[in-house]
Amino acid sequence: MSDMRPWLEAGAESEIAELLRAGRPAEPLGDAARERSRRRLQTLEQPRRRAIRLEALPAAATVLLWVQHAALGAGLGVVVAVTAAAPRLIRRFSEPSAPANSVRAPQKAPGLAPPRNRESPPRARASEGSVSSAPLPSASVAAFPDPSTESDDFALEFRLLERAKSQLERDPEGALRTLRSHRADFANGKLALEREFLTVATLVRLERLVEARAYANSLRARAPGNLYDARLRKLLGDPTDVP
Amino acid sequence: MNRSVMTAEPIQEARAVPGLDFTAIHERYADFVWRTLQRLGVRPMDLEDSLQDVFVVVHRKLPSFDGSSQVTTWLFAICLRVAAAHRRRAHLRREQATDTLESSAPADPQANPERLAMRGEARARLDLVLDALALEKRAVLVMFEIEGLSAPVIASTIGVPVATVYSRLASARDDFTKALARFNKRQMRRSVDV
Repeated sequence: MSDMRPWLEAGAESEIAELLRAGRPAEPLGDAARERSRRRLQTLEQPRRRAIRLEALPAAATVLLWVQHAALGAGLGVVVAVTAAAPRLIRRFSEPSAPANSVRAPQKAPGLAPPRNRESPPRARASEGSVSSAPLPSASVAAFPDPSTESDDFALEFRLLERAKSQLERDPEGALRTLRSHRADFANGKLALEREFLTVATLVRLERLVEARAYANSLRARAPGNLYDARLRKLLGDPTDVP
Repeated sequence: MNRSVMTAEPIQEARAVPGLDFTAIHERYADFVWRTLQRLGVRPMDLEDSLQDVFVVVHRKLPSFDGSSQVTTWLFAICLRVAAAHRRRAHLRREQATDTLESSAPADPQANPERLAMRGEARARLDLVLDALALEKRAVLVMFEIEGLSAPVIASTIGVPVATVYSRLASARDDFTKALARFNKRQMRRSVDV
């Protein structure tokens, strides 16, 4: 079949030959049509070029995101480290004030001096309990500066009184013992007035009203017009001054 | 028909070129697509749209074209599908093969008007008979019988063995003869009815 000749040469029927002769080879693509086609197809190419440019974006965005997360992680690490180190640093910087407070050190009973790192001394543990639900106002105590930033003496005083307050409702006798302990160690401590007030409150709780009034009068006498006056009157149910 | 001249048609260098991009394919093969669409019976008025359709498909499929076949073979397959769609639409529109390439070809000023009219009529009939052929057969018949391309060139263009070209050609001649007979029969019936 490889020697197959064109139909016209091989003797096609006249009608077929006439039709084949009428046929014309395909016309070439004109310049105008080519240009029109080129312009129409440019609209196809533009989105693809844009897409190729956009394909590079995810890689860059991923790197940027990675750098951003790394920076965020480093920043968080610094914050956590600083937060963890802050109490130690503050304590170290506050140490120079210790000699001033150590003047009162002789008042302390021997053996009660807490270790330097007093995270869990026997007395301190008691203060970890919840604040007593006693009717005593706690604002005065709560308004005290943070004991961790104060001197050791003040912290001890504070914890003792906190312990007494927590004992007030369930163990008033124990509270009295704690208050006595405070008096023994810090007779003229910074929180002496608070101690006296708590003593009055404990005695009231124990229904030892005579003693309570005596303590109250003593407190008023020591600090006339002090801030506890109104609270004492309320505690003792006295609308007026107790004689 | 000078067959040696006709085989020099721009179907050479059809091997897939690595890194060939869309613009380059358009520049190099737009003419081939244009001619192929005509061989497959796309009417002149639809040629530009069909050319666009082919290159839209090329644009979409280019990333998956692995170059294992010739570019012209790949383009020919796309042209076949586009021409088939065109043929279906033409049938739906009940178009008749009346608009031939006559409209785009310059008229011979020295030609006899009567002869021109006869030739135009013959061309219209040729298109109607060719429309009855399967697209693959039509393409082979047009390239071999009308354009005078050699069987090896046709085989290389459409990506089939030379023997397949010959068998398609023989089958196309058969179908052409039968289609012409049917056409004449219809024409006779119409003239009798009139």
